[in-house]
Amino acid sequence: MKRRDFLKFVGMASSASILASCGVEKSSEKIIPYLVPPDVEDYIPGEAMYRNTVCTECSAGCGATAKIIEWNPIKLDGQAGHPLNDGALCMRGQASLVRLYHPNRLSNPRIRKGGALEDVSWDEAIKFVRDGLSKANSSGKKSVYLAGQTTGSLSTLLDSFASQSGVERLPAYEAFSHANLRRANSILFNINDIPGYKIDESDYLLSVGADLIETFLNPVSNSQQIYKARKGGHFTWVHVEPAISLTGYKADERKTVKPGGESSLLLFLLNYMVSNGLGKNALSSNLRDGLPSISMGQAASATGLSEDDLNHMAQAFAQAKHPLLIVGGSATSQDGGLSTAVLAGMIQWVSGMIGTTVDFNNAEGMNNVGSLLDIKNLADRLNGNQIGVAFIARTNPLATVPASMKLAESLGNAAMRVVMTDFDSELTEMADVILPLSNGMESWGDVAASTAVTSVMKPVVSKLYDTLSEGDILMKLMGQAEDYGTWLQSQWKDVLGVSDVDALIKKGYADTGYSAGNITMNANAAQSFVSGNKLTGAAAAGGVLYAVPSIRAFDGRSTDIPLTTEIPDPLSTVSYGNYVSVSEAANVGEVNPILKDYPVVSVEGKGASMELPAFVQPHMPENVATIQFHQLDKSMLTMDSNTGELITRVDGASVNATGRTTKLSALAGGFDQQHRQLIPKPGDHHHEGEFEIGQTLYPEIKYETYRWGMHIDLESCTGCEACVAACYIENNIPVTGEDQHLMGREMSWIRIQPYYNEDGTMDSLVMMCQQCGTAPCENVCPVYATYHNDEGLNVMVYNRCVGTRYCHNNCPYKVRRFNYFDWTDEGAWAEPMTRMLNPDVYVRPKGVMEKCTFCLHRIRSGKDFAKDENRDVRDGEIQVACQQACPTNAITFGNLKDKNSEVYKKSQMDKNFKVLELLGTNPAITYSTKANKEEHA
Amino acid sequence: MSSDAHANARTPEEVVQYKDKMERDIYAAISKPNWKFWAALALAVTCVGIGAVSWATQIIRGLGVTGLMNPVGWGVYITDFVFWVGIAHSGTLISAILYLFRAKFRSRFNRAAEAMTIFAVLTAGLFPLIHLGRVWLFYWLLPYPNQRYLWVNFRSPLVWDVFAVSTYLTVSAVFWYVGLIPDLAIARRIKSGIQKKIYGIASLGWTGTFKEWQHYNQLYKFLAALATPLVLSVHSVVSWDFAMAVVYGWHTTIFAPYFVAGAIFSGCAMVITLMVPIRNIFSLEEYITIDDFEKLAKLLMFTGLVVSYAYMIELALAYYSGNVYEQQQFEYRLFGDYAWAYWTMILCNVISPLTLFYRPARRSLMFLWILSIPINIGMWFERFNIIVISLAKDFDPYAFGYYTPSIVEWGITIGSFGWFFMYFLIFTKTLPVLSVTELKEEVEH
Repeated sequence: MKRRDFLKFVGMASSASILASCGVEKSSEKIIPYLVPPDVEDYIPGEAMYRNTVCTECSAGCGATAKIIEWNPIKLDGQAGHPLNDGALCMRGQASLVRLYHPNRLSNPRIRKGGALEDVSWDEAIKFVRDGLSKANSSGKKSVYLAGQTTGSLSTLLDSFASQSGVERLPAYEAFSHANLRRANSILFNINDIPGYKIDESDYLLSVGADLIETFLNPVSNSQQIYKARKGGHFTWVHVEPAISLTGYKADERKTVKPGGESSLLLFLLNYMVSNGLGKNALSSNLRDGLPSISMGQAASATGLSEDDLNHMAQAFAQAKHPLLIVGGSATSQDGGLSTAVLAGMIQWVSGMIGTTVDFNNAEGMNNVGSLLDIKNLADRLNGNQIGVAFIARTNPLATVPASMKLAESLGNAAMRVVMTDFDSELTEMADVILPLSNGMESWGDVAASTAVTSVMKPVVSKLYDTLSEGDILMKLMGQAEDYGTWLQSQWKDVLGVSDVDALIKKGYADTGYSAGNITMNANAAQSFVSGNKLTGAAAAGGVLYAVPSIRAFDGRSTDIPLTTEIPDPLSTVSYGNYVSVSEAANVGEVNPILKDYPVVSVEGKGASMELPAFVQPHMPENVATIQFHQLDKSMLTMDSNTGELITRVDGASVNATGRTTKLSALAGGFDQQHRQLIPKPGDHHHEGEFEIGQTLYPEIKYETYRWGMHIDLESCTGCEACVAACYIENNIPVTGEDQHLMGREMSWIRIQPYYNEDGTMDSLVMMCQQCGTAPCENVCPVYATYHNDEGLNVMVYNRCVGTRYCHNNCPYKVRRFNYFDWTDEGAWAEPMTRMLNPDVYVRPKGVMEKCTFCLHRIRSGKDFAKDENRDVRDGEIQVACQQACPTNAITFGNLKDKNSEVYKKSQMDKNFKVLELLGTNPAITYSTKANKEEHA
Repeated sequence: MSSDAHANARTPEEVVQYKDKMERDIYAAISKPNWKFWAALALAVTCVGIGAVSWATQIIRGLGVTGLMNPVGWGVYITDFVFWVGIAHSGTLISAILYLFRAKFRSRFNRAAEAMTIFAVLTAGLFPLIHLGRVWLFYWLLPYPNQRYLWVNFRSPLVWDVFAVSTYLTVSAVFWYVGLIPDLAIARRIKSGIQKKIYGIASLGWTGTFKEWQHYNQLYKFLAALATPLVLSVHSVVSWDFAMAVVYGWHTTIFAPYFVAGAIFSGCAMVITLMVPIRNIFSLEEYITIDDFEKLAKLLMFTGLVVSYAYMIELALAYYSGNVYEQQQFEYRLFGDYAWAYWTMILCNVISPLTLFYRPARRSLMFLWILSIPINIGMWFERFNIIVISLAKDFDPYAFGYYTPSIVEWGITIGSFGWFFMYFLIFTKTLPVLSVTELKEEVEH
């Protein structure tokens, strides 16, 4: 063949094949989806959509906004303007996005056949359950339905399911049911509920035991209100607690009370008011006379508080115009907790809080929540073989009830166990039917955030797996063809009186309004309680161990989310592993935080014992220890046999050194400032004038339009870690796990550093990249992978980084994070977690350095919007992720070049400081603290 | 100690005979190796293999296989780098500076010391690559023209390092090779067959004419003068990797002289470690005498004292600074979690060289050889202490942390020793370990 012929043939053949491949098969035309679906008005490919939903991590019912890019929710934030949590979401709420995408989520119904669980279709599973129900009915056994706190339309549906199917709906189960508080309120005010506390309207807040910032009712709302009250001025917050909590440190004054001494304190306060004729409401003379008296001396010895403190507290409380007393947490979940709660209720009545700062119109809506008494009752009935089908939905009592109840054994006696949940647990191990629940974001639903507000939700993402929402399951079990969403919309029209459902969904919540009526104290009931009960108990003798609900896991439910364990506890900085916090006086052995060596102790109490590492908690009172509730051996838990309250105070607990040490992943290498003046204390400025700060060899940098800066108000910061969780999710930061944490390889870009002071206070220093004006990291990078941009940002070009780690070494703040592994390869983004990744942020490969750049992608996007309108970015237009998450607005971000911006004004305050300013790094972040304010006052 | 190279009382015939004997003795080493050599080489190559496997593991999985962590971003690798650069130092010191000062004893050691320098730089040069997170992009550290107009950051001491080390390697190699040319010509004359051809090419047609010698001497002096500032500059630049940083324990003005002294100290120790066995194995007692070693021992003692002084100054500066970060850093070195490493260094580098004040100790080769080992170890720890302890406890107590080297890092360190000794073993069997021409010159004078 000639060359020319060959070329001809080749040309022919290739053009023929190209032409042939241009044809369109008829069938393939149909499968091209719409680029822009006609029914979604605000969809722009690649741009974010925002949809309101409800955070379902706990039953508080906070409004949430999902940021959705390409149909995947990639971030959850608080819904701006929501009456409960205006724009903020707690750390667990932020992290709950992971629940949606977690690879271990239950993905299809399973039923137990011949001892083994097997995957089945929904129809089979529903049939199986209905068969079980009818079998139980015919054998005369009662079927029961136990769920976590259930409100709103689901509660209505559940009632109709119960009546239709002959299933008994049990009172809802919550480990922290506040049974004593509710009982006290029902004795005194005839309301079995917990009121809303209007902290923002009070001028003197006395909280006893209630961990307002960590887990008490709605910590986000509490924090926001405290912030508001503080901004209003004339607000004092005294927190009284027997142990150590974040809440205590963040109060204006933290008072340590002897375990069990809370009731004496309250009795003293009540007596003080009554005997001095203070307060708005007088007690009946019978009640007044029946009230046991307590002298200042007696009160002092019972509470361990000094007479000065008591006097001061009583006077301040009595003089306050709008005092507020909140009692809860450790104060009520102990023996005698009911008396404490009743005394608190009486004080609230006498001082006129009821109807003002204590608001039953906007109550928690916990009246259908039961207590451990109901669980005990259930266990007895199970043991008596009276129970047919046991439905357990959205709760795992096995993990939280006292071990002495032997609930797991009892549950084995049910004819059938139907578990509705989203993750495997000890409960699913013994289940006969596992019905996987859809995530809140995949479901229709509504949640009563309070008696006055109902949050509503519509699916914001299509289902990832073959799951159903609880409402849909109930509809199916009832044999209804209608789906839950349709039914729900008609409910909203009928019950909430909403005409425009779409508008409601857009708004995210409905103000239902509620009136509890005119509340007066039932003096007779109060008097009979006072005369029939011992109001004050003796303080506990010997060692006391408190099981406290954790800010990261609450009652343990959030441990399903790896991120909540990855983020360290704000007090101990422990991420992974169980531990007990003990006092220095316990003398359990040497701690070396740099080596992460912690002494192993044996904790004994109530006949059980645990061996675990001890964190020596500064300022912890002698003989007191705390453990996070979900880490406690449940054998040490007991129940108040009268009210069914969970007793989390373990009396007679002993903490003994074993002489051994172990590695504990406490991330801090030190727990005090070691005279390093990171947060300057009054009188610390002795270097002033000795150094000229800000001198540099390099030419001065000129910023044209923007110099991005930040101000962090440490006085407002509660150390709640919400910003940390937000940052993790916003910036695709991998979860690295316990082994890496023990090696010191956490990846967090922002962290809360606790520094304990000798005067009994603690400072939480929020540490992230300081975006230095003269950054030590920049000039050492050999390849310009990190450089200073013309907007004052210390930017990081991941693609250019070769990984010398010099920048990390030279960063005095140690905020740079190196990718020691390819975390994707290591399983950090196991499918379908990749759908959670923020497409605006690069997922960093192994071998490169990363760090905070003030959410550069958000700045970029904000500038793009401004450019479209041919203007500069307006103040407040760009919110960075940590700022957005902060419930107390402690973080302000903006343009320092703009003299009218909030951040500029805040950066000019006298009480400001910059961390390690002496190094001449010229950070773009300024901080302010209370300590400095006092100094300048 | 019958006759030695310094003796001058020889008749011209004796001189010729002595020169022939010298050639025979020294070139005798360049012969078919025995099993001991092969065993030693096999051991070295095995170590290189261990290092290669370790490095491969690290490249595949990432630097996570090391013990590096927050806050210690540099560990054993940079320690090894500085250690080997330090070893590389005394080669040039002995050959160039001592040449200019006309110190005669240098001719006994210069060839091996220069070889050591080159091999040590070759070893050291690997570590900046090994420690990179993305070694496959190492060329980004070099300034090369590209269409993206991306340039290296000349403010970064790491870029200075690239230049300092590569310049040092080039000049040392040229200096060494130029010194070798007449000796290679001797090898060409002595050897036959393929060896003759190779040495012939390598000797660049050296014939030993008067003119050639004249040019040669000029060039050699010039190169010596060129290499001399490099001795000071290279390690000064390496020290600036640290001194230019803000980290206390690094950020100090004494680092350049401190590092240079330390480098010479460790280099001398390594020369002793290498030359004592070479003298013994190749029966070179006649040419390298105890006196020569004693001079080396004095140099060792002197630099040891300089280093000890630097240690004291560091502490004194910290004490006098009134700077809490610096004070706590040095307190931590002395009494903290890494105290074991600090006191190992003090024992090896401060205490052990003091024995050299005792003359018989200086003249006992066995003792010198044994002493050189802890000094090598001590100087490794000196760098480890500076790098790691300073980072472990810098500014923010929250970020303090303890670094423990991993098995991969030790594997690569072992590999680096294998790499160095592999070259050195090959050198002893292929090139004259003493400068024959210079020894001959001494016989003439």
